[in-house]
Amino acid sequence: MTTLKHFSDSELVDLFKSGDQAAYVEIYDRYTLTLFNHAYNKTRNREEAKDVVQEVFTTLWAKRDQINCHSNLSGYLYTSLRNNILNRIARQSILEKYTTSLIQFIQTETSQIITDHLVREHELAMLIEKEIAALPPKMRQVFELSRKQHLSHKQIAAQLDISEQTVSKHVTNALKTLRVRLGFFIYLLILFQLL
Amino acid sequence: MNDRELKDLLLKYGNNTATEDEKSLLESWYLHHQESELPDYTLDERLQDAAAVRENLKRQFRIGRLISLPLRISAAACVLILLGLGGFYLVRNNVTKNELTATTHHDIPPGQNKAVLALANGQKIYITGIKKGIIYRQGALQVTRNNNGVLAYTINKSLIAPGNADNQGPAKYNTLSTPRGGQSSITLADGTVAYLDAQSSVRFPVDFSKSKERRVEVTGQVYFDVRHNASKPFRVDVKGQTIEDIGTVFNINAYDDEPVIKTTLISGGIKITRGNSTATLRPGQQAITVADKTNIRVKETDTEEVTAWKNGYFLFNNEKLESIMRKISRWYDVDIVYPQDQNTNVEYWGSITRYDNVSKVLKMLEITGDVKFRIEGKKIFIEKK
Repeated sequence: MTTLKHFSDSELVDLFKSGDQAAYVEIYDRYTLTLFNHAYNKTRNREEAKDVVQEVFTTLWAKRDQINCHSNLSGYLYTSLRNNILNRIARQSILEKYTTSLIQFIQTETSQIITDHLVREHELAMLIEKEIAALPPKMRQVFELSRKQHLSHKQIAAQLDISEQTVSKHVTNALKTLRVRLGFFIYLLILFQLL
Repeated sequence: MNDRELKDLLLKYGNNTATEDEKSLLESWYLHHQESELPDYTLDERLQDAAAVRENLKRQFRIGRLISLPLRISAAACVLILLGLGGFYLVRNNVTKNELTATTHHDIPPGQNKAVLALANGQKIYITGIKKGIIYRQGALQVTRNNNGVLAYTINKSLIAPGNADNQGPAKYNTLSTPRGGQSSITLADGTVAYLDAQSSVRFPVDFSKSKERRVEVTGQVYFDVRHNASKPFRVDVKGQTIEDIGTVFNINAYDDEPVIKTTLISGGIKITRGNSTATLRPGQQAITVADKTNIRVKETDTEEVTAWKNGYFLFNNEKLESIMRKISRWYDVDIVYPQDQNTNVEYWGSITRYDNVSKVLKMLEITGDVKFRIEGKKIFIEKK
């Protein structure tokens, strides 16, 4: 059940888009602390942070057919979080917190405006990494554990000192063996168009 | 730019009607803006919040009710098979062909919300059903059930006569216990919620004000969602060990007829003390202990498997038949009769709601081939094919 940890972000996204709930939960587990950290840094409020993180993942699920983040899951999640936070600022009660900063930026810091949205996304990812690096070591360890515990086939291969193809072959062979042994049940599955 | 213009700008961003320049401006400000002097956001608080959102998402998208697991590789290379309609998922190591043969002369309904609240004065209140609001009242004592089905025991202080002995002296304890075929949940005086599986109990003080700690006792299987209070630690005594909370959600499985005691941390942090041994757990870890022994073994575990009961389903993950039947026995309030030469090596994988009649669960177990079940009255007979 925990083998999803070995899947790369891209593999998880593919699984998730095909409806795999466990992949969705794995994506959540991998990114939740990172997103909470950033959300809290920006909103200074636990309840708001919870709301935005939940909103990000609700949208992720609801729009899974339309999302195209196979190659950049983190980028998608980070920008989704940013957009959510920015959208909330429009609310009067929350806007007050930011008015001074916003107006000052517009009046004096226009040199800081980045016109290329890809550069902005890249800067956002860098910022989020920096925020994590600034955490006390013990906390940072927990973050890294949940994020980086997964090893791709490539990394497994490197660790075991075998080729990446061998790892993939091992995985597909195991599947093949089972299919042969299962016979009747596979027939049932094909019958119900589940395979 | 004044406040009005600013708000308009932000609203446009929200509607997705902002120009590229406007987006550049807002998103660049976002990168630039830094909060100084953030109040502390501890690791435990983060883990708690992350766990809360996780639960909300799972509930919202009904994840975990019916687990759809695609082909997945494990060390033993087991495969999950989707069988039939209604979403039953079952798998097994040594699979052979066979037909459905479960004979069910009667069927047995699933467990339900049933519990007994034993008060300090010896009085017992029988609690059943799902009615919300005040379900029992006597004098100053009130038992209510909230919208989530969780009980709460409260004392209306204004109704206590002055000089009433109830309010003086050492802390009074109540015990909430569930029978076989029952389950319950209760909010304690501090806001901590305890969820009880069948054949379980929690003994708790009426209020925690008389002590420097919050100490309760448990039997069976109880899931705690502890209200964090750094100045008054929450401690659970169970079968010779003490679990101390550091702001936490955890599950205790300590049935008399199970070979080991399993304490699993879902979020937060707990410390377990047993004799001279202690162990501190991280979320996702489980402490395994045995009666009569003081050592504590800590391992990583699948928390979904551990908390499946609380979420209303059975989740068998490479589980032996006896272990599965013990769970069925408690939840359906039945006795199991095994054949003389029982093969104990068969393992099962699968998930199914626990709110259906027992025949549904048994049918799924039968499909794999080794066993046949016969229900007679409140007994389930296991027979070889």
